[in-house]
Amino acid sequence: MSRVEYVARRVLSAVVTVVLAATINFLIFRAAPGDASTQYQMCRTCSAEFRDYLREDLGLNRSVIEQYLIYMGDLFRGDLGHSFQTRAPVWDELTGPLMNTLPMVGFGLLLGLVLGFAVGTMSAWRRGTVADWAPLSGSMFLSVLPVQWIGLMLLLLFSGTLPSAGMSDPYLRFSDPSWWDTLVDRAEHMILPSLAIGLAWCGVWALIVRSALVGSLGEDYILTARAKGLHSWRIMRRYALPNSMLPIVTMLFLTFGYIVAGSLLVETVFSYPGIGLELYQAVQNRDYALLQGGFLLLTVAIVLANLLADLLYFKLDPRITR
Amino acid sequence: MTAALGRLDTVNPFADNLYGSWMARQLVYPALVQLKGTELEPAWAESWEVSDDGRSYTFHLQEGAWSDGTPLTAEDAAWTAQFELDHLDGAAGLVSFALEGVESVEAVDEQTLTVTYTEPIAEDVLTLLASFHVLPKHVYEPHAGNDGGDMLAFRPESELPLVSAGPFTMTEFDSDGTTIFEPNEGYYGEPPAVDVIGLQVFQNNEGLAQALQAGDVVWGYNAGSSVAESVGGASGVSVETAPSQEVGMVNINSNPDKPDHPELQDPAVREAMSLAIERDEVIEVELDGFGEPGRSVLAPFQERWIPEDIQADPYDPDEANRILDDLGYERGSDGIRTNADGERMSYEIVVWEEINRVAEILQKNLADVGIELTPDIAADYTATVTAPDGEYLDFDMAFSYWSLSPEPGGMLRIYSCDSWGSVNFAGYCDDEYDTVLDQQRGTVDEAERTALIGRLQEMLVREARAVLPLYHAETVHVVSDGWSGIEIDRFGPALWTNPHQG
Repeated sequence: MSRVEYVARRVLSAVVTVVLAATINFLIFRAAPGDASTQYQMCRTCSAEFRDYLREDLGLNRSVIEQYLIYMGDLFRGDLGHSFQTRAPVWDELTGPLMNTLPMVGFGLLLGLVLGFAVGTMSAWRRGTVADWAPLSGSMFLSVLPVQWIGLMLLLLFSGTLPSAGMSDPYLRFSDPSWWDTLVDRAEHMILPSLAIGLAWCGVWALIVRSALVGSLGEDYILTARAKGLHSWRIMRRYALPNSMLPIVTMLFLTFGYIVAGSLLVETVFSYPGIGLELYQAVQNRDYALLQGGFLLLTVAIVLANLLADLLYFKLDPRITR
Repeated sequence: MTAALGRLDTVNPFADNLYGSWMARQLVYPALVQLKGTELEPAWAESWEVSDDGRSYTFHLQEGAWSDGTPLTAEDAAWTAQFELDHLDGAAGLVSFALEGVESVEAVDEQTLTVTYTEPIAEDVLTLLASFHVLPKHVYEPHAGNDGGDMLAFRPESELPLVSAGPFTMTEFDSDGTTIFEPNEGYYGEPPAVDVIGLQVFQNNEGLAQALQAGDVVWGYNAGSSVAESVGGASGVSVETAPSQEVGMVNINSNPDKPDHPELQDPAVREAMSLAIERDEVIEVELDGFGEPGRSVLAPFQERWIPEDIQADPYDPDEANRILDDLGYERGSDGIRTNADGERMSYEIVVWEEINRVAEILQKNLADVGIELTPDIAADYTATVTAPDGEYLDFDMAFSYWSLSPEPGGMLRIYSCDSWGSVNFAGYCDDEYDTVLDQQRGTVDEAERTALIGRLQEMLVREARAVLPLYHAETVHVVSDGWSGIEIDRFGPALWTNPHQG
């Protein structure tokens, strides 16, 4: 397979996946009973006429096919439509919360990665000893706990020391804060939710890193390196780790999708105004437009991350082009 | 001071009637009157008098201005009311209850407003006006087009500071975080005792409980029983309760044309079901004990309108079984009784997801007396209950839950023939009931009106038993010690201007 052909295939399959996902996305919400015009917030004692007016205004009176064509057409132009609830562009509704979520989840995943890498490397290096199973089973235990439960425990543990809700101190602006004060405040609000995500993920990472490393450590070239009398840490760093990167990179990119999806539970525990919470509200308001936009964003993020991982394989695994 | 409220989407009353925004509107928009419990107090209106025929109330308003400098006049009130009256069944559907029975609202001059009702009304009815928030005409009027449809999309907080004439103005808005209110310099009334109020949204009860204990939040406004349970006994915070303003109940389909289960129309069967329900357990499970057994369709804070002989039904499954046995409904081999047509006494109850635990208790209780109950979780509640097409032919029973305003007429109107097809979740329609309902509205004499209101409750929860009251949830607040002036039974600006440290 030539390099161009490989890239073209990957990109095409990514595009098809996104279109399919957008379609399913559209259909799923139409299949659910009730719509935005029957939603309590919009209309409690509304007359039938006013409901009809709302449905017309939101485009819900058109046939499903027509709605679908309009939706896909707009999507093609990069227009995600308008939120049913606030009538603001969906894109604007999503970017704010997304920007709140990215650093929090990003920091959490990084934390999980660092912890997992440390535990995984240690386990593989000291395989069969206490230094292997103790940290590994500890992190595995954490990773089977629901992330919201870890969040709740952190909340109870750090009550009074770290903020329990929100993403910034609303009164900070009255004290004329420097950029440093603002940064510290944001970081304080981020620690607990990020830590919850980090703890929940470190076990998964540790296991992947460990098994990849154990695999490479059994290879002949490692034996050769040992025979040459190289120090075992040097063997780990120069030979074992680089050759274990393939599964690790795949996993790294796959977790990007988690940024949107996985933030929901953590954000609910810490009342963190991010994308997960925004989508949760959209479900309650039956705001199709916002939900479609949000889920599409999630799909595109995962597909893009996979595509990137595929393309990166060139760099990591020369066998692909052969 | 930080208080925790529910979510606040917008202060635009036409677009959002969630609890959070309902409370927040008291900070920024004037109301003619305010409430302490069910008692009327002056607010923007210093005084008022009633016309000889009892239909018109004239309010004398204080001089004031909107925070952008525009004078606050009776014209603002008249415009707001007219918009609401013009769009009762449409854009103003969420707020129209405050103007129940109002024929017209006129600005006599800048400081005088006349509210005319379609018939003579008791002064108590004015309590509804505490929920009538006067909007800045110059800000809202440009969005009145499209038969009011545009109004639903209008977001006044997109331009801050918000144009306000209440004790505070909004200076920062965050629907998922903390919305900041600072004192409004031009406010006509008593200036607030605090420098700033933050209304914070908590998605999680435990988070709120922790924030209260840490002192980050001073007032968990109507925080609810689970937060109270969680902080229970912690130092520095107290749990305060006010008499319930809410009622949760089971409605029984009373449409005589319903094709199946004719026995459900029989008040004796309904009484048996009521006796089978262990209300105390419902209260323990659903409200952590912060509640009272359901007594009537009115709530305990309206005590003076509830006849003394209407009390909550006791838990008496033996008596329930005796009644059903006497009526001849024998149990089949599966323990479920059958009616005269041989139909199993197996009913569906329309509920929503959150109330599932209550449904489970009802299921267990009714099974003890040989009645099978299946919860039906409805996405579109009204449509499910009134199906098909508003004819009430399908449903057997439906759970409903209301937060009440002090004036009892609104709640009782829910069971009038007029509400058939919308909020009347029992499909109950009775000529005598409607006659008395109209009669009480035109009755000014308090004792006479109380008797009529009592009569309506007799018909509903005793004679027909179209409704089985289940429970009344207490209003539970969690308040930081070291603060005073927090009066949880208030509704209106004083709720927010009185609190102070020390």
